[in-house]
Amino acid sequence: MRGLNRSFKRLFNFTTNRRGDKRLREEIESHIAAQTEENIRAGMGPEEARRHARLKFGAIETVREDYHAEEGLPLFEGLLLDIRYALRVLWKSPAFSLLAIMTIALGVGANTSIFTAVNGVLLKSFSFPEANRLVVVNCVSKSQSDLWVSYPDYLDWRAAQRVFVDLGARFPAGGIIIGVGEPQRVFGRYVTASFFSTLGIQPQIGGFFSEDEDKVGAPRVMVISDSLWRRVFNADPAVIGRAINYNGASWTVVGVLPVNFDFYGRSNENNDLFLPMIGSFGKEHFLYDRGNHPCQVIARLRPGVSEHQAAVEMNTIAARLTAQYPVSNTGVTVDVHSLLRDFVGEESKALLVTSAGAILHKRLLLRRAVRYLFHSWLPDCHF
Amino acid sequence: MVLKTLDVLGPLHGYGVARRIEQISGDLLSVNQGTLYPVLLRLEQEGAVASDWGPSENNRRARFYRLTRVGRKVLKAEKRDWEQTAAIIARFFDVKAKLA
Repeated sequence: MRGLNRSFKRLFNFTTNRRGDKRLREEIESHIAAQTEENIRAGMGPEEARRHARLKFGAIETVREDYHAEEGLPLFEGLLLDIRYALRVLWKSPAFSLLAIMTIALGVGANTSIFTAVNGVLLKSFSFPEANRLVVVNCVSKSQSDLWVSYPDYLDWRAAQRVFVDLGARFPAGGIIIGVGEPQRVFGRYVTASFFSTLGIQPQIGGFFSEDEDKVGAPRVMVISDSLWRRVFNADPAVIGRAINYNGASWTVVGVLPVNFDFYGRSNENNDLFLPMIGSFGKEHFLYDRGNHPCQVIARLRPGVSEHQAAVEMNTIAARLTAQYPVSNTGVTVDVHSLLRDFVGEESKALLVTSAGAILHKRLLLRRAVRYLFHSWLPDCHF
Repeated sequence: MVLKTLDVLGPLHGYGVARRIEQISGDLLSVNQGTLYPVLLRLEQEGAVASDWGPSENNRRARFYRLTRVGRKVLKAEKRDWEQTAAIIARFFDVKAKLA
């Protein structure tokens, strides 16, 4: 209550510009006079008595400053003075003002464009529906924080878990497309059919392959990226149903990914094409070996389930698998963390850091530029 | 100290308060007397003291400060706080003496 009362008084003094300067001066005078008289009574000469009285009182200027600081709102008073000074200077030298304003405008513009770039590359491009529910599910051992996942484990997880809407697995692909203009070196991924539905995306044209189309002996189909579609097929919609020679075999294009599809960065080369995982490797032994960890797994959390809850459930399943398959699964636990974090962490941390650095640097440069301007114009101005 | 001085001596001008503090402390506390005025202003804004112009002993105009009702309450609270602090500190010294 005391503090509040006091704040009101200070605000009042500030707004009404009320000053107790006269009062203080008078008080000081009377104080020093009284002390002087007492000094004279103690046997000093008048001159010396007055000098001693002043000494005892202390630095009058300091006292006045402290007094004013108690009286009003010194911060705002300083600010008002500064603004008044700035306006006066700007008004007096319009050419300088224009230069300063243009410099600042240029700097702000640069900041904005950097932010736009980061926003475009990093944030907007990560455009899966309800992307905050997308997570990476990974095996972890004591010696390896990034073990990846064996296909049988993935299947058991998928069958046993209740925390995810679905999971999808993938591993890298790469090869050569021939017969469409120049031979093309392309990169992509072998994915389970659930990969697309987990991400929650729809094809731009055509369709994705279903689980029925992803099995041993099924016809070979592929999904291509928007960029490959434009680069190699001139964005021709007739590409759907067309047979492509990829790595010496014939594959039928069934779908084109959306324009803004961005899995681990648009510059990531492994986004050219997506091939059915089981259709391609269903007969290979490594796919059924629990000691072999070729798959990377993503999942979509059920609404309301946290990463932590998911991790708890997945580790319960992992413990059961360890009991069942001690040779391959001993010491293997499961880590669940957000896909965006994984994406930013691995691929784009450098980009983030660089752009933040660039913005900071720009700001410093801008400030320095304006400061130089001020100094050249107003040599007596220090800040 | 300011509040206690005004409590004991009644309305007093700044110089009087300063002298009194010096006397009571046996000149152990002879800080710059000028620093007293911002403190007085602060107390006045808090409502603990009120002030008015009046004639000093030698018929000069001086500002007289007096304790208000709020001031008396504040003084009581401060006194209690101080006694408590002092008592706690004293207890610590006591313990040390016993150990030694």
